[in-house]
This record gives sequence, structure tokens and C-alpha cells, in this order.
Amino acid sequence: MDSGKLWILVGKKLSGEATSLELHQLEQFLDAGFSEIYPVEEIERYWHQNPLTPPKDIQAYLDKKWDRFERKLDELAEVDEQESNDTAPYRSFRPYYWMGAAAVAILAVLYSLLHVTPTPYTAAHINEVFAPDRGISKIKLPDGTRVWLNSGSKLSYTKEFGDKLREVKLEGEAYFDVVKDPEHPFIVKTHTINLKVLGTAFNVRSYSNEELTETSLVHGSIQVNLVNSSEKEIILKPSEKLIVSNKVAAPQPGSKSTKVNEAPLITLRYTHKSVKDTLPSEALWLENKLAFDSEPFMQVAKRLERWYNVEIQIKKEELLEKEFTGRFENESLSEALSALRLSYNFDYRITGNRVIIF
Amino acid sequence: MTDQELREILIKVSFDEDRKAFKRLFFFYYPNMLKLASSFVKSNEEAEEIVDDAFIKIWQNRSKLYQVNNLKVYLFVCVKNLCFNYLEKKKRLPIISIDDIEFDPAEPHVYPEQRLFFLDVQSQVEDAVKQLTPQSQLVFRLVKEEGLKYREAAQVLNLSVKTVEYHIGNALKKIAEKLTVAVNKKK
Repeated sequence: MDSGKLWILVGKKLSGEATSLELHQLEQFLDAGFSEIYPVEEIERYWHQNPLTPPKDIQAYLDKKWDRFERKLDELAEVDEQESNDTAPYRSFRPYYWMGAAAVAILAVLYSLLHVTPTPYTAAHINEVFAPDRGISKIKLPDGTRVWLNSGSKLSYTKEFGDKLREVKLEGEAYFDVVKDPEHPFIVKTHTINLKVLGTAFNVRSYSNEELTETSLVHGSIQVNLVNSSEKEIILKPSEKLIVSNKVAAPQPGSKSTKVNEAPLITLRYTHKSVKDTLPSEALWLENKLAFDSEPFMQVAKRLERWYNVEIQIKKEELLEKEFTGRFENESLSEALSALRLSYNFDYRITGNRVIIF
Repeated sequence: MTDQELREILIKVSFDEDRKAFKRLFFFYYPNMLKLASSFVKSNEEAEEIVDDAFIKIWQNRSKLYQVNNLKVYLFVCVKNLCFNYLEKKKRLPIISIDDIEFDPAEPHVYPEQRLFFLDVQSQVEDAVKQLTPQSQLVFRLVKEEGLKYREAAQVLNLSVKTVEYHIGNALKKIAEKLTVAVNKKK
């Protein structure tokens, strides 16, 4: 008689896989005399005895293994830091980063040195300068013009810079203090606007992932042309700021409907400057301060993202259009969020470098 | 560790990159993963390397860890795959099949306390288990010692549930034969 079926049933019973029908079947097998031929009981007892009693020194053994493993993790974290240095947070919220803090700090310094020095490359002789994700790059252009490049921004110019024109391309935000030279107009090109200046100081914010382009003039005067309708020319006077909607300036092909209720194409406003600040709030990032005056939360969130190197997800739609005013210097992210929610209530949860606002 | 505790640990590792939580996973699963790895590769050092690698892979994928439903199976599959990769690299196995894997009978992680009870039956059973085919041994260990469900063991070893059923039945049959012989000898 084949006992294969019996043992399959025993196995199922012992491992808890058997259905009630199978248990019944097994009973029948055993009653029919199988229990006398085969040591089913012994095997059941063997199966149910405590399979593993860990040795007493298991904790010490595991401690040793963990220590060794943790060293491997640390090495790995350092390699990761090196590889993704441009996204490495300068101020980290993750405690274990502090272990490698010295090494990371040195790398970060090396990195910014490398990238602040204009590195010529490609046949077109384009110089590109990047600002790291959590830092400002200070650049002196060949004509002596000083540029502060805000985090995550890029400034590029060709070798011909200064021959006839002084032309730079900007992606992101920068503050310019332009050396006066009427012979060679200074031109800033962004994806929405072109600026022509003679000698002046101004701030341009034109991140491609934001909805607005802002130009704030500190002193002097600038002439602004829109990329999409160059006949429109606007002269900006000191303390004025120009806001251009990126949506309208760069219309999506195929979207015919003109949205009447959208923010106007161009807005002229005054820069905000509080008595104790030396610069208008639009340029306060130069002094390592994060400031905004009556800015919609959508923009505020983008700036918080760059400032704290986090990713913000907003799940409360009504919040997007609400305007916020604030000034932050040494505050932590949660301090900043706690302050902001005083003007319009919202909840937030910070996990690692992700923030959910709801 | 309860399922709820495990779930909380996974969320901590996933969202907060919490190393302390990860350490708890390590302590909880290391011995069993090492045992599984030791049944594939011969030396203990190699097995430890493989388990470390498995934990490193899991740490690297921590952001997705909260989606894992059955961590034990996930870990075992990870160890098994790393073992196969390792063996393939060592050219010990031109074609991968667990039937070809040699088992080291001097299994390094049988704790001495185990031998204290049912010493007679125990040693008979162990002899019988060692004489099983490698595949049957592995299935038997996963189900009996690791307490995996048939479905889970099947998943770890890329077998069908029916095959697992067969291997367990077969293992029990062989053990029973050994015990019967021993009992008859005594008589």
C-alpha cells in the first residue's frame, strides 16, 4: 500500500495547511490501521518540539555582526554622498550623516569651488556656473560685474562676453550688480524675459518649475522684453518689481483658450523692504535669509523646498492661492511651517526630506 | 515580533530612514537568513557576506520597503538569489538547479540545546533529513524550521505548491522509515 498520500496529509496537518476535509481523510487513514504501521505519533511530537533554542550568547554574536554591517552601511553612505554631491544637503536632518559630516563638508567645499570657477567646455566656448542645491555661488564676470547665484540655478555665457554685448543666460534666480559700461549693454536672457541694463543692481527669479518670473530693481534702471512678444518693452525704475506669468509667456502649443481669470500677463509691483533690512526682501537670500511678502503658498512652497532641500507635497488645494508673508533665517523647517500656519491653518508631516501639507 | 510591530518598523525604515528600526530587523532575521545562506554556500564567511549583502540591498531599497507584505519571504528570496548569483560566479554551477547544490552536513547553526531533547528520535530524524535530496531538505527546513506556509516556500524556491506538498510528504515518509528501522532493530 502506498503511504505517499498519508505522509502528504500528515505534512499538511503539521504545517497547518490541511483543509477540514483533508484532516478528516487523515483520520480515516489512521483509523484504518496506518497508525499501527507507521510512527505517525513520534513524528508529530518531533515536529512540534521547540525547533530552535537560540544559544545564550546570540545577542553578543548579533551585536558583533551588526557592528560589522553598520561599518559597511557607513562606507556605502559616504560613496553615495560623493556620487550625489550636488543634491547633498548642507544641513541634514538625518542624524547619521553627521558621522561623515567632516568628509562631506570638505567634499561640499571642493564641489562649490569646482563649480564656481567657470569651466569652459564644448566647442562653443560656453561657460556655465552652477549653484549647489543648498548654497549660493558668488561669481565675478570678466567685466567685473558681480553675480550671486541662488541655489539650484545656472548662469551661462559665451567666450564672446564683453566683445560687443555682455550677454548671460539665467536659469533660476540671481542678483546682479552690474558694472557701468554704456558701450557694452548688459543683457540677461531667461526663458520668459530678456533684460537690458546699463549699470544697475537687480534681482531676477526665473525658475522653470515656478509659475512666475520676477524682476526686482534695487537701483539704476532696466529695460525688459518678453521672449514671446518682444515688441513689449517695459522700463523698470528703482524699487519696482515686474512679475511675468511663466504660463502666459510660454504658452503650451494647442491650448487656445485664453484664461481670463488667470493672473495678468504682467504685473508691476513695488519691492518690499523693511526698515531694518539693507536689501528688499526679494534679494534677502543674499544674506542667507528666506523672505517673502504676500506670496501665494505655491511659490512659498517652492522656495521652502530649495531653502531646506526638501520635497513638499500640498494636499490642501485652497492653500495654493493664499498669500503668506514671512522672514526666516536660522529657523528649522518645522519652526518655519509652524509660523506660517498661524496666518492660515494647515497640518504638516515631515518624514525624512519629504513634507506633506494637508 | 507582531505583524503590527513589523509594519511600524517597515514604515520607520521606509519614511524616516530609521537605522535603529533597521537594526531590529537585522537582529530578528539575521540568524534565519544566515541558516538559509549556509545551506547554499559552503563556508560560513561566505554565507555571512551574502546575508550582509542582502541587508545592504534591502537598506538601499528602503524607500519601497513599506510596500513589502511578507518580509520573511522577501528576505529569503533575496538571500536565495544572492546565493545563486554567488555560486554562478564561482562557476560551481554551470546550470542553476538546487538539486545540484551540495549541502554541508556539518551545518554550523544547529544549536547544542536542540540535541538535549528526544536525543534518540532527534538524531535518527536528523540522519534521515541529511539523506534527503537537497531540494527536499531545503523545502523541509523552510516549512518546519522557518514556519513558512507552503505557498511561501514555493515562492522562495520557485516551485509549485504541489511540489512543496510532495517534498514534505516525502521527507516525512523517509523519516518514518528510518524510525521504523530503528525501532525494529531495538526489538
